[in-house]
Amino acid sequence: MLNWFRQVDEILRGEKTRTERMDSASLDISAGGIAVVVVVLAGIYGFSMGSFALARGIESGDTTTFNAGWMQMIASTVKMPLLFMCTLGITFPSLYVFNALVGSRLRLPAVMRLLIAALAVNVTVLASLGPIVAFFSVSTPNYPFVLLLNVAVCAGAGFLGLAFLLQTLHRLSGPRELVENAEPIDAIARIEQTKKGPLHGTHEQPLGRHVKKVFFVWLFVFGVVGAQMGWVLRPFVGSPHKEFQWLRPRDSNFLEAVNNAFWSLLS
Amino acid sequence: MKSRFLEVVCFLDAILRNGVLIDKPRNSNSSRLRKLLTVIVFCGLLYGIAMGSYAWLAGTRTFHDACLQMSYSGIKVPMLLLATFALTWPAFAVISTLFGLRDDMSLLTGLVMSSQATGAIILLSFSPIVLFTYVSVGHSQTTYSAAVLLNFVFFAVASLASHWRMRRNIKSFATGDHRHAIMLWFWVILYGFAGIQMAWIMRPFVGQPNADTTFFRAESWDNAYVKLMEIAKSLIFPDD
Repeated sequence: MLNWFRQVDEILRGEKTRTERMDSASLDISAGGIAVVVVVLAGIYGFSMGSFALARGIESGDTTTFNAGWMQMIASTVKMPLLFMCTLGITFPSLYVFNALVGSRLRLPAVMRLLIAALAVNVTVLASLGPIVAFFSVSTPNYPFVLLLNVAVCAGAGFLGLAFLLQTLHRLSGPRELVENAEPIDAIARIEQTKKGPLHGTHEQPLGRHVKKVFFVWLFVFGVVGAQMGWVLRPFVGSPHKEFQWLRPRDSNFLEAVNNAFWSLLS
Repeated sequence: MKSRFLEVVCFLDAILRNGVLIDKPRNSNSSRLRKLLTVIVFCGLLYGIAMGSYAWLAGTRTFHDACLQMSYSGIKVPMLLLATFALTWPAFAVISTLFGLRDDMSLLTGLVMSSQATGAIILLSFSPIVLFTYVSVGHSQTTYSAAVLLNFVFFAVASLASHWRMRRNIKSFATGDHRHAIMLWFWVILYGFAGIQMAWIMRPFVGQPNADTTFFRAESWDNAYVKLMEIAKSLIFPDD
């Protein structure tokens, strides 16, 4: 288990995504192990999200009960990992097929490892922001504020996860011969290279057409399915004025809910 | 005793000039961090005591009656600084790592701690002005509001000045690499965002003389930003 966390740390430091360590056009990571870490870290963020319901209580019939708050917290802790893993499970076949269609040389295990690594970056940022979210959740009675804070935090973490995905996809898809035939670099340049993080672009080569296509299709498919999955699995924060439910009835959509929360905060 | 006092003054002076942590930034600096922590606690405590002395110096309570508020404020100012640091540091560490700055983490942590210590020293330097203002204005609802506003301005000035100092120092060793500066901006935004809410829930720091002295207000658990929006809305649309 510790080794899996160490691998996530190496991903964050950019050690796993250096060009010279990706000779076989794949990341040298254990996809299963990293998936476990993703579940744990997403659970930590879910726990932080659910702390709003615990602090405020949730209506249960005519009274507000803290038992329902506990239930919401447990539900959020369970549902957050489910959101990521179900979205990946549902979209993976189409993501892989499109990747193959546009002529990318990434094989099935490589695509899986890459997506799991990007999710790991995403949930690590989320978990690191968890204490701030929990603090605001506990100290804020205003539901729309906490809802929008969570949307902003998820958007920020998602942006960093996507930046990682784009840069790593670019490195994995780059021509290997450039690396193999490259002039040996001196020690100082090597140290400078190791100081670059995983989000650092390779300025020597512009983004390839295949990379752009694959990335934007993945972004669209994963984004749309993820938003809908989040909507289906709601509530994550737990409105104090609604009874606790594991899943809410299917109506409206994610964008409409964010819009409503925004206007309700201003009104 | 005198030499010990001079040693402390020299250390505080070194923080202000940021000789601390910058000379040998990549060396182990855990003892320096401990010293910075002590400075934050010490200076925060003294400024907090000064902040909480309003009721006594404005002449509405005896020293004995005002001691409780002074102690509470003395505890709460370092608590505010350190709790906000603890809340925001995990995100700062993870995102610095993503930007390839893990090797410089101890340096960056030292810099932000140093910045907090600088802020605490600046606050302490303002405490005579705070005391003088309290003594000179007496008590009314208007002067109480002015005292709160004065302390808010001092916190803002201390934060801005310490950030300015930090940015100047970072230029001395990170020439050509803008990532450190970007991360420190990120830190300032994150720290400010959480710090404002932390200060809001930890109030009162000055202490309303007519109210009972409490560590936290009963209505403390509220959101500073929502309140600000409500105030802005009432100013823009007074008839609503």
